[in-house]
Amino acid sequence: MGSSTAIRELQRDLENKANDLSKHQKDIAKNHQVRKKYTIQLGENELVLKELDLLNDDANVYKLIGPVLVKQDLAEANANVRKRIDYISAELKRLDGTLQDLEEKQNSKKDAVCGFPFSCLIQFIIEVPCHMPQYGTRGLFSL
Amino acid sequence: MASSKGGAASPAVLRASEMEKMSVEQLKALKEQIDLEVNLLQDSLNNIKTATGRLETTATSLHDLSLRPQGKKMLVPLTASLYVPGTLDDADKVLVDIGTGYFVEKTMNEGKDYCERKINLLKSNFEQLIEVCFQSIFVLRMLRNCLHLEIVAQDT
Repeated sequence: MGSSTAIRELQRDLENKANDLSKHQKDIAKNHQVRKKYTIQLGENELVLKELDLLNDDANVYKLIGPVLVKQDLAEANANVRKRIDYISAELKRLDGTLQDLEEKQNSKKDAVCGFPFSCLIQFIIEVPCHMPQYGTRGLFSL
Repeated sequence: MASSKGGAASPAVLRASEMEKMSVEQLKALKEQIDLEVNLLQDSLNNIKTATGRLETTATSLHDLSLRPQGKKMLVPLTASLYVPGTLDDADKVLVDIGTGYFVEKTMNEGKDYCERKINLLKSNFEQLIEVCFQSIFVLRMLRNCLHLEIVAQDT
Protein backbone atom coordinates (compact mmCIF):
# COMPACT_ATOMS: atom_id res chain seq x y z
CA MET A 1 0.00 0.00 0.00
CA GLY A 2 3.00 2.25 0.51
CA SER A 3 3.42 2.62 -3.23
CA SER A 4 -0.14 3.85 -3.87
CA THR A 5 0.16 6.64 -1.30
CA ALA A 6 3.51 7.57 -2.80
CA ILE A 7 1.97 7.71 -6.25
CA ARG A 8 -0.91 9.77 -4.94
CA GLU A 9 1.56 12.14 -3.39
CA LEU A 10 3.40 12.41 -6.65
CA GLN A 11 0.14 13.09 -8.40
CA ARG A 12 -0.67 15.87 -6.00
CA ASP A 13 2.77 17.29 -6.49
CA LEU A 14 2.31 17.22 -10.23
CA GLU A 15 -1.06 18.92 -9.94
CA ASN A 16 0.45 21.66 -7.82
CA LYS A 17 3.16 22.24 -10.37
CA ALA A 18 0.68 22.28 -13.23
CA ASN A 19 -1.50 24.79 -11.38
CA ASP A 20 1.52 26.94 -10.77
CA LEU A 21 2.37 26.84 -14.44
CA SER A 22 -1.12 27.78 -15.56
CA LYS A 23 -1.12 30.66 -13.08
CA HIS A 24 2.06 31.92 -14.63
CA GLN A 25 0.64 31.59 -18.09
CA LYS A 26 -2.35 33.66 -17.02
CA ASP A 27 -0.02 36.31 -15.66
CA ILE A 28 1.81 36.43 -18.94
CA ALA A 29 -1.42 36.75 -20.90
CA LYS A 30 -2.47 39.62 -18.64
CA ASN A 31 0.87 41.28 -19.18
CA HIS A 32 0.40 40.98 -22.94
CA GLN A 33 -3.02 42.60 -22.71
CA VAL A 34 -1.77 45.54 -20.66
CA ARG A 35 1.13 45.97 -23.04
CA LYS A 36 -1.18 46.00 -26.03
CA LYS A 37 -3.25 48.74 -24.38
CA TYR A 38 -0.17 50.83 -23.70
CA THR A 39 1.19 50.36 -27.21
CA ILE A 40 -2.07 51.61 -28.67
CA GLN A 41 -2.04 54.61 -26.35
CA LEU A 42 1.56 55.34 -27.24
CA GLY A 43 0.69 55.30 -30.93
CA GLU A 44 -2.23 57.67 -30.40
CA ASN A 45 -0.14 60.05 -28.32
CA GLU A 46 2.57 60.08 -30.93
CA LEU A 47 0.02 60.98 -33.59
CA VAL A 48 -1.23 63.83 -31.39
CA LEU A 49 2.31 65.08 -30.84
CA LYS A 50 3.01 65.02 -34.56
CA GLU A 51 -0.16 67.02 -35.11
CA LEU A 52 0.71 69.53 -32.41
CA ASP A 53 4.17 69.99 -33.87
CA LEU A 54 2.63 70.93 -37.20
CA LEU A 55 0.60 73.78 -35.70
CA ASN A 56 1.41 77.45 -35.74
CA ASP A 57 2.35 79.06 -32.44
CA ASP A 58 -0.88 81.05 -32.32
CA ALA A 59 -3.18 78.08 -32.89
CA ASN A 60 -6.02 77.53 -30.46
CA VAL A 61 -5.75 74.21 -28.65
CA TYR A 62 -8.51 72.83 -26.45
CA LYS A 63 -8.46 69.93 -24.05
CA LEU A 64 -11.59 67.91 -23.41
CA ILE A 65 -12.02 67.62 -19.66
CA GLY A 66 -15.20 65.74 -18.93
CA PRO A 67 -17.90 67.42 -21.01
CA VAL A 68 -16.17 70.78 -21.43
CA LEU A 69 -13.48 72.00 -23.75
CA VAL A 70 -10.82 73.97 -21.91
CA LYS A 71 -8.52 76.22 -23.82
CA GLN A 72 -4.89 75.31 -23.38
CA ASP A 73 -1.55 76.76 -24.27
CA LEU A 74 0.07 75.02 -27.20
CA ALA A 75 3.35 74.74 -25.30
CA GLU A 76 1.55 73.32 -22.29
CA ALA A 77 -0.31 70.77 -24.40
CA ASN A 78 2.92 69.83 -26.11
CA ALA A 79 4.68 69.33 -22.77
CA ASN A 80 1.76 67.27 -21.46
CA VAL A 81 1.77 64.94 -24.42
CA ARG A 82 5.53 64.55 -24.25
CA LYS A 83 5.32 63.72 -20.56
CA ARG A 84 2.65 61.16 -21.25
CA ILE A 85 4.73 59.54 -23.99
CA ASP A 86 7.69 59.37 -21.61
CA TYR A 87 5.52 57.79 -18.96
CA ILE A 88 4.04 55.21 -21.32
CA SER A 89 7.45 54.34 -22.73
CA ALA A 90 8.81 53.82 -19.23
CA GLU A 91 5.81 51.70 -18.37
CA LEU A 92 6.30 49.61 -21.51
CA LYS A 93 9.95 49.07 -20.62
CA ARG A 94 8.96 47.99 -17.13
CA LEU A 95 6.40 45.57 -18.54
CA ASP A 96 9.04 44.17 -20.87
CA GLY A 97 11.23 43.49 -17.87
CA THR A 98 8.51 41.71 -15.92
CA LEU A 99 7.50 39.77 -19.01
CA GLN A 100 11.03 38.47 -19.47
CA ASP A 101 11.13 37.52 -15.82
CA LEU A 102 7.80 35.75 -16.06
CA GLU A 103 8.81 33.90 -19.19
CA GLU A 104 11.97 32.63 -17.54
CA LYS A 105 9.97 31.43 -14.58
CA GLN A 106 7.45 29.83 -16.88
CA ASN A 107 10.14 27.95 -18.74
CA SER A 108 11.60 26.58 -15.53
CA LYS A 109 8.11 25.55 -14.40
CA LYS A 110 7.47 23.93 -17.75
CA ASP A 111 10.66 21.94 -17.37
CA ALA A 112 9.56 20.89 -13.92
CA VAL A 113 6.20 19.67 -15.20
CA CYS A 114 7.53 18.09 -18.39
CA GLY A 115 10.30 16.36 -16.49
CA PHE A 116 7.78 15.10 -14.00
CA PRO A 117 6.16 12.16 -15.77
CA PHE A 118 9.58 10.65 -16.28
CA SER A 119 10.50 10.80 -12.61
CA CYS A 120 7.03 9.51 -11.82
CA LEU A 121 7.58 6.67 -14.25
CA ILE A 122 10.88 5.79 -12.64
CA GLN A 123 9.17 5.77 -9.28
CA PHE A 124 6.50 3.57 -10.76
CA ILE A 125 9.06 1.20 -12.18
CA ILE A 126 10.76 0.88 -8.85
CA GLU A 127 7.49 0.32 -7.04
CA VAL A 128 5.62 -1.83 -9.52
CA PRO A 129 7.67 -5.03 -9.64
CA CYS A 130 6.79 -5.90 -6.06
CA HIS A 131 3.06 -5.76 -6.90
CA MET A 132 2.92 -6.84 -10.48
CA PRO A 133 5.97 -8.92 -11.13
CA GLN A 134 4.59 -10.02 -14.45
CA TYR A 135 5.32 -6.57 -15.94
CA GLY A 136 8.80 -6.02 -14.61
CA THR A 137 11.03 -3.20 -15.62
CA ARG A 138 11.66 -4.22 -19.15
CA GLY A 139 7.99 -4.55 -20.01
CA LEU A 140 7.26 -1.02 -18.84
CA PHE A 141 9.95 0.50 -20.93
CA SER A 142 8.60 -1.09 -24.05
CA LEU A 143 5.10 0.23 -23.32
CA MET B 1 -2.50 53.12 -33.86
CA ALA B 2 -3.11 50.21 -36.13
CA SER B 3 0.47 50.05 -37.30
CA SER B 4 1.59 48.96 -33.87
CA LYS B 5 -0.63 45.91 -33.93
CA GLY B 6 1.42 43.97 -36.44
CA GLY B 7 4.18 43.69 -33.86
CA ALA B 8 4.03 39.93 -33.40
CA ALA B 9 7.19 38.45 -34.86
CA SER B 10 6.13 36.76 -38.04
CA PRO B 11 8.03 33.61 -39.00
CA ALA B 12 7.36 34.47 -42.60
CA VAL B 13 10.90 33.60 -43.59
CA LEU B 14 10.39 29.93 -42.79
CA ARG B 15 11.50 27.78 -45.65
CA ALA B 16 9.65 24.78 -46.91
CA SER B 17 12.70 22.65 -46.16
CA GLU B 18 12.53 23.65 -42.52
CA MET B 19 8.89 22.73 -42.41
CA GLU B 20 9.59 19.29 -43.79
CA LYS B 21 11.81 18.57 -40.83
CA MET B 22 9.07 19.33 -38.33
CA SER B 23 6.80 16.79 -36.72
CA VAL B 24 3.06 16.88 -37.18
CA GLU B 25 2.60 18.33 -33.69
CA GLN B 26 5.05 21.13 -34.34
CA LEU B 27 3.40 21.89 -37.65
CA LYS B 28 0.00 21.98 -35.99
CA ALA B 29 1.21 24.32 -33.27
CA LEU B 30 2.80 26.62 -35.82
CA LYS B 31 -0.32 26.57 -37.93
CA GLU B 32 -2.43 27.54 -34.94
CA GLN B 33 -0.10 30.41 -34.14
CA ILE B 34 -0.14 31.74 -37.68
CA ASP B 35 -3.90 31.30 -37.83
CA LEU B 36 -4.19 33.58 -34.83
CA GLU B 37 -1.80 36.04 -36.41
CA VAL B 38 -3.76 36.16 -39.65
CA ASN B 39 -6.99 36.72 -37.73
CA LEU B 40 -5.40 39.57 -35.81
CA LEU B 41 -4.09 41.13 -39.00
CA GLN B 42 -7.46 40.86 -40.68
CA ASP B 43 -9.11 42.51 -37.68
CA SER B 44 -6.61 45.34 -37.91
CA LEU B 45 -7.23 45.69 -41.63
CA ASN B 46 -10.97 45.93 -41.00
CA ASN B 47 -10.39 48.56 -38.33
CA ILE B 48 -8.29 50.61 -40.70
CA LYS B 49 -10.95 50.29 -43.37
CA THR B 50 -13.72 51.58 -41.08
CA ALA B 51 -11.50 54.41 -39.84
CA THR B 52 -10.70 55.42 -43.43
CA GLY B 53 -14.38 55.34 -44.26
CA ARG B 54 -15.19 57.62 -41.33
CA LEU B 55 -12.50 60.08 -42.34
CA GLU B 56 -13.74 60.07 -45.90
CA THR B 57 -17.29 60.92 -44.83
CA THR B 58 -15.83 63.66 -42.63
CA ALA B 59 -13.92 65.07 -45.57
CA THR B 60 -17.00 65.09 -47.80
CA SER B 61 -19.14 66.76 -45.14
CA LEU B 62 -16.45 69.36 -44.61
CA HIS B 63 -16.42 70.03 -48.31
CA ASP B 64 -20.20 70.22 -48.23
CA LEU B 65 -20.12 72.68 -45.35
CA SER B 66 -17.59 74.92 -47.07
CA LEU B 67 -19.98 75.38 -49.99
CA ARG B 68 -22.78 76.81 -47.81
CA PRO B 69 -23.02 80.58 -47.49
CA GLN B 70 -22.96 82.32 -44.13
CA GLY B 71 -26.39 82.68 -42.52
CA LYS B 72 -27.72 79.58 -44.25
CA LYS B 73 -30.65 78.01 -42.42
CA MET B 74 -30.06 74.46 -41.23
CA LEU B 75 -31.25 71.78 -38.82
CA VAL B 76 -28.80 70.88 -36.10
CA PRO B 77 -28.99 67.37 -34.67
CA LEU B 78 -29.16 67.39 -30.86
CA THR B 79 -29.79 63.66 -30.67
CA ALA B 80 -30.21 61.07 -33.38
CA SER B 81 -33.90 61.91 -33.66
CA LEU B 82 -34.16 65.52 -32.44
CA TYR B 83 -33.21 68.41 -34.69
CA VAL B 84 -33.44 72.12 -33.94
CA PRO B 85 -33.33 74.94 -36.51
CA GLY B 86 -30.24 77.09 -36.66
CA THR B 87 -28.25 79.32 -38.96
CA LEU B 88 -24.74 78.79 -40.17
CA ASP B 89 -22.54 81.37 -38.51
CA ASP B 90 -18.98 80.66 -39.47
CA ALA B 91 -18.03 77.84 -41.78
CA ASP B 92 -14.40 78.83 -42.02
CA LYS B 93 -13.32 77.69 -38.55
CA VAL B 94 -13.58 74.03 -37.58
CA LEU B 95 -12.61 72.19 -34.42
CA VAL B 96 -10.65 69.02 -35.08
CA ASP B 97 -10.32 66.16 -32.62
CA ILE B 98 -6.70 65.05 -32.90
CA GLY B 99 -6.96 62.30 -30.28
CA THR B 100 -6.50 61.78 -26.51
CA GLY B 101 -8.94 64.58 -25.77
CA TYR B 102 -7.13 67.34 -27.63
CA PHE B 103 -8.99 69.58 -30.05
CA VAL B 104 -7.44 72.12 -32.37
CA GLU B 105 -9.10 75.04 -34.07
CA LYS B 106 -8.33 74.97 -37.75
CA THR B 107 -9.49 76.79 -40.82
CA MET B 108 -11.60 74.94 -43.33
CA ASN B 109 -8.68 74.27 -45.64
CA GLU B 110 -6.49 73.06 -42.80
CA GLY B 111 -9.29 70.78 -41.69
CA LYS B 112 -9.59 69.28 -45.15
CA ASP B 113 -5.85 68.93 -45.28
CA TYR B 114 -5.92 67.12 -41.92
CA CYS B 115 -8.48 64.59 -43.19
CA GLU B 116 -6.49 64.00 -46.33
CA ARG B 117 -3.28 63.47 -44.38
CA LYS B 118 -4.93 61.00 -42.03
CA ILE B 119 -6.48 59.10 -44.93
CA ASN B 120 -3.11 58.87 -46.65
CA LEU B 121 -1.46 57.68 -43.44
CA LEU B 122 -4.10 55.01 -42.98
CA LYS B 123 -3.79 53.94 -46.59
CA SER B 124 -0.04 53.50 -46.33
CA ASN B 125 -0.51 51.54 -43.09
CA PHE B 126 -3.13 49.44 -44.82
CA GLU B 127 -0.76 48.59 -47.64
CA GLN B 128 2.02 47.63 -45.26
CA LEU B 129 -0.31 45.49 -43.22
CA ILE B 130 -1.79 43.76 -46.22
CA GLU B 131 1.68 42.77 -47.34
CA VAL B 132 2.38 41.18 -43.96
CA CYS B 133 -1.02 39.53 -44.10
CA PHE B 134 -0.32 38.04 -47.52
CA GLN B 135 3.00 36.71 -46.31
CA SER B 136 1.35 35.05 -43.35
CA ILE B 137 -1.33 33.55 -45.55
CA PHE B 138 1.36 32.25 -47.88
CA VAL B 139 3.18 30.59 -44.98
CA LEU B 140 -0.12 29.18 -43.80
CA ARG B 141 -0.72 27.63 -47.19
CA MET B 142 2.72 26.05 -47.18
CA LEU B 143 2.09 24.72 -43.70
CA ARG B 144 -1.18 23.19 -44.79
CA ASN B 145 0.54 21.47 -47.69
CA CYS B 146 3.27 20.13 -45.43
CA LEU B 147 0.76 18.91 -42.88
CA HIS B 148 -1.25 17.22 -45.58
CA LEU B 149 1.83 15.50 -46.99
CA GLU B 150 2.91 14.31 -43.54
CA ILE B 151 -0.48 12.89 -42.77
CA VAL B 152 -0.64 11.11 -46.12
CA ALA B 153 2.86 9.75 -45.53
CA GLN B 154 1.81 8.51 -42.11
CA ASP B 155 -1.24 6.74 -43.48
CA THR B 156 0.65 4.77 -46.05
